[in-house]
Amino acid sequence: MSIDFYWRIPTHGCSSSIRERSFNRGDWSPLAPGNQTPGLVDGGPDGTSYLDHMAEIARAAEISGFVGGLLPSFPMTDDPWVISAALARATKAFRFMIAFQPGFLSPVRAARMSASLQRATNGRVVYNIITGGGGPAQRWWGDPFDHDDRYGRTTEFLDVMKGVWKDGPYTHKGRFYEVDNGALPPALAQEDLPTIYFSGSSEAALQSAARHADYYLSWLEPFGQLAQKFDQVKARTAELGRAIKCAIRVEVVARPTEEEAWREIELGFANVKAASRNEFGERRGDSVGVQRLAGLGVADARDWRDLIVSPNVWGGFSLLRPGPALGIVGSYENVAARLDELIGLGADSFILAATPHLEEAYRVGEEVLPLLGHRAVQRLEAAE
Amino acid sequence: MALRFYWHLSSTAAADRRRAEWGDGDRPWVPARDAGSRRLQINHYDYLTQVARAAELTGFDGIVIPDEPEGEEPWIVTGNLLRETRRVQLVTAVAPGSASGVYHAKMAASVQRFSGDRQGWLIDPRQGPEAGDAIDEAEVPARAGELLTLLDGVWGDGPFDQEGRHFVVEKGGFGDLVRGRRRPPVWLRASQAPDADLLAHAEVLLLDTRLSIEALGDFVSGARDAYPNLRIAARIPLLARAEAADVAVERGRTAPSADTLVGTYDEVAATLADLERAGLDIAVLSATNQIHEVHVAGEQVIGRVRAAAIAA
Repeated sequence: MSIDFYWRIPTHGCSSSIRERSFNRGDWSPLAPGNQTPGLVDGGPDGTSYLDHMAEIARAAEISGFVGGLLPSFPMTDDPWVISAALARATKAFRFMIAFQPGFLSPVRAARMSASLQRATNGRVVYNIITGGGGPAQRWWGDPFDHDDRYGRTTEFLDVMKGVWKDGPYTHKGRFYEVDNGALPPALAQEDLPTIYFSGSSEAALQSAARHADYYLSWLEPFGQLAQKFDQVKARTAELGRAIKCAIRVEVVARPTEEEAWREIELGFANVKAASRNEFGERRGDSVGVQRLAGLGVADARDWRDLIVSPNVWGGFSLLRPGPALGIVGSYENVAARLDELIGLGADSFILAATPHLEEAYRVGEEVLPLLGHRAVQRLEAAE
Repeated sequence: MALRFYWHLSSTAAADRRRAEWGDGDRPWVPARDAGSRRLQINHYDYLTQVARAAELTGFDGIVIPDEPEGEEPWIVTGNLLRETRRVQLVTAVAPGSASGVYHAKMAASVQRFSGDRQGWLIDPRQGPEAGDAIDEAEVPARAGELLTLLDGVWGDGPFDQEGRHFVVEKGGFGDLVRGRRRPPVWLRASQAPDADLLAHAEVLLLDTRLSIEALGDFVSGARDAYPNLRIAARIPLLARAEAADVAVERGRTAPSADTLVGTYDEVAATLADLERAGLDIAVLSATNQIHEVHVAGEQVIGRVRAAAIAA
């Protein structure tokens, strides 16, 4: 079975080093030593923008063997639909994994946008359906619905989106959406539905995933906990009548030696201010995924070693940049071994990331991915 | 200000549907396929991009990207064009019922950031139940007004709160994302008879009613008088040829509608100059067989109007 490897496009600036918690790539930070600020030369606009840097990351990923990349969507990021449409012609094979919440778009509009984007990209659109973290951020987005309501809406949204696209003229009168004889024009309707990556850890999320998702996407969690979750997801979706694959989104720090990799973490941790730790400690929203990672003690750690969760797994990434806590740290061989281990525990696909995203796409693509599967092969040879 | 020219970029016009893969199967040849792929390596966006670039290279000031139910989705066309063009304004049709207000504004923020503030919004207030937009007719203007209030409100530091009937926002605001960025100028359609509340949000009133060319001049001057603070735009289908004999041949072949501006290059340039004197700010030209007609309009018509203005 082949495993798909995606990269991540940082949609709110990037940093030139995991050691620094600053977005010095992108137009988010003022001009300073080490700051690229694309778009400005001699203090004036130079006709480029952060989009041009994202284009280079996407190209680096496709050159290095990744099938595509996740485009995350948060209040302060650029928008994945706009980025994907703009980079369709700047890339050749790169698949655009668009993160979006069903509350953002009407399902008919989503079908039209997606089919048009399939046409513009020659079929390179992938969805990462997110049902929302809740709390103030949800209302910032203008979405007043509660957690379980939102999953009900996600299910209905995907029913309608697929219905209009593939079974038009489609009529639906539901709790959230109403459509009367909706359809796409033939040239759009013939496009393939995007593969759906689905996030969400609650029972409401699993029910929705079982109906519509191709991949169940999780952050990295402690390996045993993750294996258990994948087993549950596969079992629950099988009960609901559908097979589902599992995917992991994880940041890596891969270096020629394990010592060099941990040194990056040590220096990054040393740069974290107390304020950032407290910020992490302040948990908001109703995301079950966030709550599942709550027991790690990140806010209280005083030494980077306190956050080593298991061999090559460090739980303090959320201190170094916004996002999930756990990541993989080690030599190229270490990182490949952990990824192999996760494949053994049920992972069918990965979204990897490392900072800086452009150069590290080459490093991970060239140094780590080719080692995958080799340990198992080598063991077999030794046994013979 | 001198008359500005925009091109109405259709993705459904009959002559254009044959281009790239749009008409795959309907014609004797199609673009080459990649040997290893079922998919065409040339697609409709290659053609749409070329029309937009042709408009940019022949002196147009902007592109209007309409929302045609049988065509490509306008936000995707906009995203595609923003990196393929350098200078032209991109006026995207925006349907208030098709996305949350914050999400529309959020997409606009990225378009402005990536394009150097070249996006405008053309409001299409209602789509109908087949598009999942089952709003009461009476609510349509209020919803558009809420969307435009929201756009103004989130386009800054906030906190912006809105408790509308159609859109709800709590502590909204884009902050750094839009700092120094222009909120997209808003175009409203005259055919929708926008009220004063809506017009207060708008920069451009688009005369899109199908009128004879003879009646258009009066309509423009009436709009100019009624809305002195708005820029007035008019949608004008164009059929222009070098000689009267060429015009006659083309007229016989295509049977242009009564609202089409028909004539020799000199005649249509003179009519456009008249419309400018009547108060028209923006001419949104359109024709099918776009790659040919953009060049006719850009080189022959815009060239004449601008040369005459300089000579005067």
